[in-house]
Amino acid sequence: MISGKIPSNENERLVRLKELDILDTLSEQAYDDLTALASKICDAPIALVSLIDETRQWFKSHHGLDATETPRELAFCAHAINQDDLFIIEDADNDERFTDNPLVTEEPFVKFYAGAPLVLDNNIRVGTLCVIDHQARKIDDEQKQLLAALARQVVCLMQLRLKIKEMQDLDKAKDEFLSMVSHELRTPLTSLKASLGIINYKKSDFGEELQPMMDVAIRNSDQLLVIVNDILDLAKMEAGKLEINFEKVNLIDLAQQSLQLNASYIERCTCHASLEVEGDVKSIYVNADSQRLHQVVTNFISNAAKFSNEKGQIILSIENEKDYVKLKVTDYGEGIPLELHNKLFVKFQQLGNSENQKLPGTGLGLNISKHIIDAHNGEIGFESLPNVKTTFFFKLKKYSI
Amino acid sequence: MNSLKKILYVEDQKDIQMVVEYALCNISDYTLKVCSSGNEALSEIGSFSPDLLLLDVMMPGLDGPETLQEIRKIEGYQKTPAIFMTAKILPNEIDDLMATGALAIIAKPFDPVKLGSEIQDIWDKGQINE
Repeated sequence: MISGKIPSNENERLVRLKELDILDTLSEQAYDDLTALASKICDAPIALVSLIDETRQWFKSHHGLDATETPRELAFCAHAINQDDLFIIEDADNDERFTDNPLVTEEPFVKFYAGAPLVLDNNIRVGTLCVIDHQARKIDDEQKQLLAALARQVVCLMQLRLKIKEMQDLDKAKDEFLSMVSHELRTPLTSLKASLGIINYKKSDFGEELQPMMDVAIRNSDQLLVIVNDILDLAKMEAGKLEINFEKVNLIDLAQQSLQLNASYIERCTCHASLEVEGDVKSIYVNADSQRLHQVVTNFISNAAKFSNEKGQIILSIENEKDYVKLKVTDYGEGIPLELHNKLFVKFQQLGNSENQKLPGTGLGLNISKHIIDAHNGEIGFESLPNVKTTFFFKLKKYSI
Repeated sequence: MNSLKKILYVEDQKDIQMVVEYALCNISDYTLKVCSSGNEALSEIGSFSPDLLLLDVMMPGLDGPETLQEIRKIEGYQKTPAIFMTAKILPNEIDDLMATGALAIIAKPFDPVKLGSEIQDIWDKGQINE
């Protein structure tokens, strides 16, 4: 008996096999389908997808055979991986390499063998798709071609496996990056914002002259935090991991709170904001995540303030519509040009340019708002008549038991 | 009702230590013992005997929840109220932290001017619920 010789690129071959991460995995229908087809096409009782590692051949699929692996030195396939074309033994009893091989003299009595190498990256043969018969015989040209074709399909499955693994690794890297952004960026921001907060608290110590500089530092560290949070939100949404904690929320209270929270921003834009509630009711409840809704209302308000003219009016209004409630934020600024109407909720889309923007943004706000309202099964939209009136709104179903 | 005086604070980041120390000792008026690691906290807790534990979450060595777990094994500190400070903000992470038996979680970044009163509020609520 003569064992198959070790391929010249054996190390590279084993590395690739390891990358496939396929050895000792469960059987898969896709591979089993191909061995069943190979068996039928070649009219042979046994068909295998065999992969050769350092010491053994292991079968990803074994049609017509119970064994799942054999020692490498006995493997016909260990010969087959040394050539590009089909390796065919028509009669093992009359071939000195195999005549005393236990696989030939005992179960499973291999007499006929035809194996097509599984070739990755042009020259790396990780194993074979092979067919086996218990009697000496031939295989015709068409069968040879089809066996090679099926082997290429096995290779396709393996390439798909590599791609999926690559994607999973990327996804993991993205999750790790998310965690990194969450911690590594927020940690220095925490020190920065807290120390600025303390210095500002002791403002009498540094005098009025420096107060504007202090304000710049605080405002910009706040802005940086908004950006970090926006990016985190976006990443969570892309991963489908945005969690919404539903509770009974009074939308009128929420609108009032949003106005208060954004008061300094509105003032800085020299705007004036007010809340109008239709029918002058005190409460309209929705089933929502209040923190997330605050985020949307804040986004609407800051956009309105940003794009208002000097001393502009911003009106928050809440409208009853039978089972629904609509929250609107209206400004009377330059509005949104018609050509941008369908780009508005697209991420990284910034309205205006550096000249007419009073304050910077990430271009993520409306995209995030849409995600949030979608997650509430609500409707989000806008109407804009440039230089006359622009309204952003969302509509939610009222709370019911 | 017990009053809150002594806080054992565990945080590995020196800069954050500094601002929290200023916030709690100069803006507010607590007695603070600052430890840079879970192990340091374990060896200092006996002599300091804190009313409250304030713990960072992500630290090399013992992290915040592990530190709390170890402190709980020490006689006399099975029920000492604990607050975590964390930059982790995913809801499931918050749930996991609350499941360790913490009284509350303070999100980083925090407002240093309000930190003391925030901790006092948490403490007062905890006393009522006792």
